[in-house]
Amino acid sequence: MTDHLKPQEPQASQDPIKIVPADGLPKSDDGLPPWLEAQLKVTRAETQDEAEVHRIAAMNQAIAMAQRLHRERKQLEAKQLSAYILSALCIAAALSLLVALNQAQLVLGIFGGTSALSVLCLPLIIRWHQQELSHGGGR
Amino acid sequence: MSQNPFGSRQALDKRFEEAYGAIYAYCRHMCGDPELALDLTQEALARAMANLDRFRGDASFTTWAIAIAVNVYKDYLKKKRPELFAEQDALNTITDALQKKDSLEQQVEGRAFQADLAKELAAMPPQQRQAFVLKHLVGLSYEEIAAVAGCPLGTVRSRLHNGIETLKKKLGERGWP
Repeated sequence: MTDHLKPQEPQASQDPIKIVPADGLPKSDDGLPPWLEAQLKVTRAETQDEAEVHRIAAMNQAIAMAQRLHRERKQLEAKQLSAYILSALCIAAALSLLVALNQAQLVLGIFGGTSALSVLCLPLIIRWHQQELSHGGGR
Repeated sequence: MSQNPFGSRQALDKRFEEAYGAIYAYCRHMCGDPELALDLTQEALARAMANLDRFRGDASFTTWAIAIAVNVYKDYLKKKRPELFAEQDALNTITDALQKKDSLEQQVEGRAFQADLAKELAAMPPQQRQAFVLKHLVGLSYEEIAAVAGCPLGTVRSRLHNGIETLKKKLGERGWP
């Protein structure tokens, strides 16, 4: 049994108010009667004996489980990392698409605007061309 | 496994050996079944080993490991509410006692007490049982119990006091002492 697991001595300083029991027997600081304390001491010792029987097997089993847990944790972390990277790529792709669409719109706008301007200017161009032809014909 | 916070392998093994007994005692008296207690203990130890890098050292290693065991037991209860193990436990303990060679009468009396204790612990409200087991069957201090249970010191004292009063009464009805 380790020091940590040893039964603790009742400390008067922790609990200065002592309950005087009717049977006159001393009690621990939390009201545990001596007979119960003695029985619990036996129970505690027997539990430790019981634990000791399986200690080596239990520790080996726990080590194997820990290695599996650790592996699973690493795999989970790797999966999470992949998910983060994939998410980042998706966001980047979506942003690129938006920018591209925006640019396409701009191109379309320029193209559309130029086309509209060309259509509007077409009669003027035709007239100018006709004038040029008539002038040329007159020369 | 995770990084060793104690430097040497020997120091780590020693901490785990100390914690093992305490964890087993906690699981054993919380669930009342030795085999289940062993499974829960292994699970708690495995989680502790796998998460060693999360041990910060602000509590003792045993207290930290018991806090993990508390969570393992809670998880177990969430998955499957155990039936009353006390009856099965009583039968096991008396059968074991009869197989012992020396001082049979004393052994049977001791085992009979343990069987009655297991029944009464199983009937106790979970928080009182936890405080009682941690104090009197694991050996933690009030402060450590408060840290493990996540409640104020006064609450621990109150739970323990009520638990002991109930236990004394119930064991008295069974003819103890």
